[in-house]
Amino acid sequence: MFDFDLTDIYDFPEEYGSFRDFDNLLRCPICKEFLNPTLILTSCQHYGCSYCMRKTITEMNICPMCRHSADATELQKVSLIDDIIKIYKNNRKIILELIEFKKKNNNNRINNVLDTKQDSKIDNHKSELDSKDINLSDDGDTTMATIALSDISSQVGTNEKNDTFLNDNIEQNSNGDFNSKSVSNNGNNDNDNNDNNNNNNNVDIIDNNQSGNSSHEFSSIQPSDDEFVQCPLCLQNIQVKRLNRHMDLNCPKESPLNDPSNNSLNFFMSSSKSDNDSAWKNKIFSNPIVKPKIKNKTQKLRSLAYNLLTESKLRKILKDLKIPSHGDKILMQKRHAEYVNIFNANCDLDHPKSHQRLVEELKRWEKINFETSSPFSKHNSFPKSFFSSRHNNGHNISANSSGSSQNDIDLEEINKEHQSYLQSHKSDFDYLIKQIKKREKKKDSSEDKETSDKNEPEDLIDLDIFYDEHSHISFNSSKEKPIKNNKSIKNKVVRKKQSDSDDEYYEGSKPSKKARSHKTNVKTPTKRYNTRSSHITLDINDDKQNSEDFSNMKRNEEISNNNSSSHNTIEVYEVLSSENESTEKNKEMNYDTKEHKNDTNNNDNNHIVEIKEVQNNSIDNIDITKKVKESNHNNEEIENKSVEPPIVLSDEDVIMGDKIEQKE
Amino acid sequence: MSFRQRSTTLKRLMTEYKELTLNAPEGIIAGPVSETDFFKWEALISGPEKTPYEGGIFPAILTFPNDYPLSPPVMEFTCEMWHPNIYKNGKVCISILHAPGNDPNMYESSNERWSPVQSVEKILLSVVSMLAEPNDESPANVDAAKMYRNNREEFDNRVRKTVEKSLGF
Repeated sequence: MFDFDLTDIYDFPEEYGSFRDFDNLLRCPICKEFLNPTLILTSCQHYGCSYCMRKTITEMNICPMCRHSADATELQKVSLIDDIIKIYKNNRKIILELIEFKKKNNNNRINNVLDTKQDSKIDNHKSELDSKDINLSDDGDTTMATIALSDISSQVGTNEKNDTFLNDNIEQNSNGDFNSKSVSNNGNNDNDNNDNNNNNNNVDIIDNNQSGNSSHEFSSIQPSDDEFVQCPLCLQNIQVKRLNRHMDLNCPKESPLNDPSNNSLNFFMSSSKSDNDSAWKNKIFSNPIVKPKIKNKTQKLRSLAYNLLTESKLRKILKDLKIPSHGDKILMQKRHAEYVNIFNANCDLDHPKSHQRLVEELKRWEKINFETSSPFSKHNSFPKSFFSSRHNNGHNISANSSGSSQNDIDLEEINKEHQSYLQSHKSDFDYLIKQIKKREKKKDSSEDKETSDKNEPEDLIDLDIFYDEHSHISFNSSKEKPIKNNKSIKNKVVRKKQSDSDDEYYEGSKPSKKARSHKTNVKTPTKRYNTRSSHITLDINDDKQNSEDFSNMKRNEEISNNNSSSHNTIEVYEVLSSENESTEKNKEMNYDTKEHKNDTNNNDNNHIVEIKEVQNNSIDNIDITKKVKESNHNNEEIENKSVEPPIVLSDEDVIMGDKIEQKE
Repeated sequence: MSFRQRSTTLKRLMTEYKELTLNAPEGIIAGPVSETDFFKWEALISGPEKTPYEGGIFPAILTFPNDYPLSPPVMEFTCEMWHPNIYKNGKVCISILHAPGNDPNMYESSNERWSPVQSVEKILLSVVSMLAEPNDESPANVDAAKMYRNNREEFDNRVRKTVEKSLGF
């Protein structure tokens, strides 16, 4: 969720409270991050981040710590603290790891481990150590390594300032890389050197713990050769052993994060990293005292006495500063004040950002504070509405809660729209249902439906909602008004036919959850998507079926024609005989029990799964006794038919299941 | 800076949350209502001892502005409260929650007001002390302040009733 690294003083365990204090001292008391860059109030010696202090002082005109009145002109930069923080940040992770290491193994245990397990290894490493120029235990070399580190950290700082979004990532993630490089560059520059270095560092840690000397801590983190690390220049993930080469080639696959203004810097950095140059360059640039401090000579902006300015004058000032100059005076006033803060804070940085970036930041600031009510309203709209409904305490004061209530309104609106859409299109849906009724009479009606599908903008879910309602309505009316039974029976018949044909289709092509979930409702939406194939299956039945016993019933009902399948005939019969909903329920119950029997008794049957599905899907409410009759019809035909489409195969399964039942 | 500002607000809130979970002051529990929205916190404050609020557990909602910590959060009790410095709708009226710029009641010295170095922990602690020692000079709930001044027994009884209510009795 959050793309930044969160560190705080509680990273250090309680027994190392002094580290907590130290960490806390280097943090801004306002934003609780490391000071970047440090500003101190000359009058009271209180300090903070440049931006935090400027913002507070311009807004409140007080020192945030002691509340004595303060002015932005009293702020003074303290670059010494910035340097300390840079080095500290780079080594913080290592200090933490060392603390953890120390916690796990007390000194005695380390010695034991040394004596037993790693004896041979250490010997190897030590010989390697001797063969290398790097002798980290020597004091002079140590300082050099530290110096190299500080140089690199300053370069990290350079990078960081050119990309605020990733500053923490660079500082924290590339930590190990830089250390490894600083050390490796002092000595052998082969790619293989990393390996040796790795081992050296292992020794290093142990040595430190043995002697209690922590002067070489920085070199303890060392990713293995095959591990992927972030390239400090282009932030790509690259294997450690390929990192040197990657940087020598000026980062071949550069990520879009680097803007053109950074390229020159990249070039400089990568060239400084090149194998041949790095050793002496490190020596030259390594001394933090000698390190050239880029003195920013840009004149800081002064806040204006807005009351004395007219709107047009202020607008002109904004235009001169090349920042957006729209809006009324109050907005421009706020924008100017914020820009002065941003600009002056930027001036405090060693490597200031471009004007364009500042304007972008200014725009984003404006967007958050004046356009959207909440910074998270866009990202977390769902959870927020969820929570606001859960904690519905009626206190909507803040920006956040107003955002959530907006979401609630949105949901309500959507529901309303759905309802109104359903109501306004009820006649259309009725028409569609009628058409489906006619389908059995006209084979080509399916094509008409398909065209009507295209005119139907609503999606499947909405249609389902509607059809749920509609089916309920029709059934209810059949209950209440027995005189209108005919109509409702028609509906039911249509429903059954649809569901049958639907499910036949799905069974043919592996029944999906969707098919099952739809079974209890009127199936029009699904049906319409599958019209073609389902119709074909009906045709197969049509040709072979002679409905004799039930054809009279059909005629009476004026629903089906002579070509209709035995399925449908039986359904009609069933519907007629049932006459009301309660009997249908009974049938369902009855059927369910038989289904269970089927399952238990036919474990050997290979088709048992399919049977289940077929039962679940297609013959839902059909009375078993009638189904058996039907199966007699179907059975004969299917046996006669040599080549059957998969759809009919599933029919066969039903029949087989029914047959077994018959035997029982 | 806005990106920075937002991320600093989030970072700051998360740091404070961590701080509160690691060494929470006695009688105070606070944390974000949801992990996805760090700008809304729920706090539980147990009534300070030797006061009529003793034994009660009072839920409150803290709502943080976008420019936190520059602006103070808003704190509201979600249970019924009878206190001179708590509005009848539950909103807490306490100087630490007021930015120094606007003083609606014209009595608070700027030393007690909000500053970016204050924290949730300090707010909740001052609310606890507010419960223990109501300030009847600048009441948010005038009736409660009157009762507190003139008829302390009745006030205490009334408070105890709300405590029982807050506990669900």
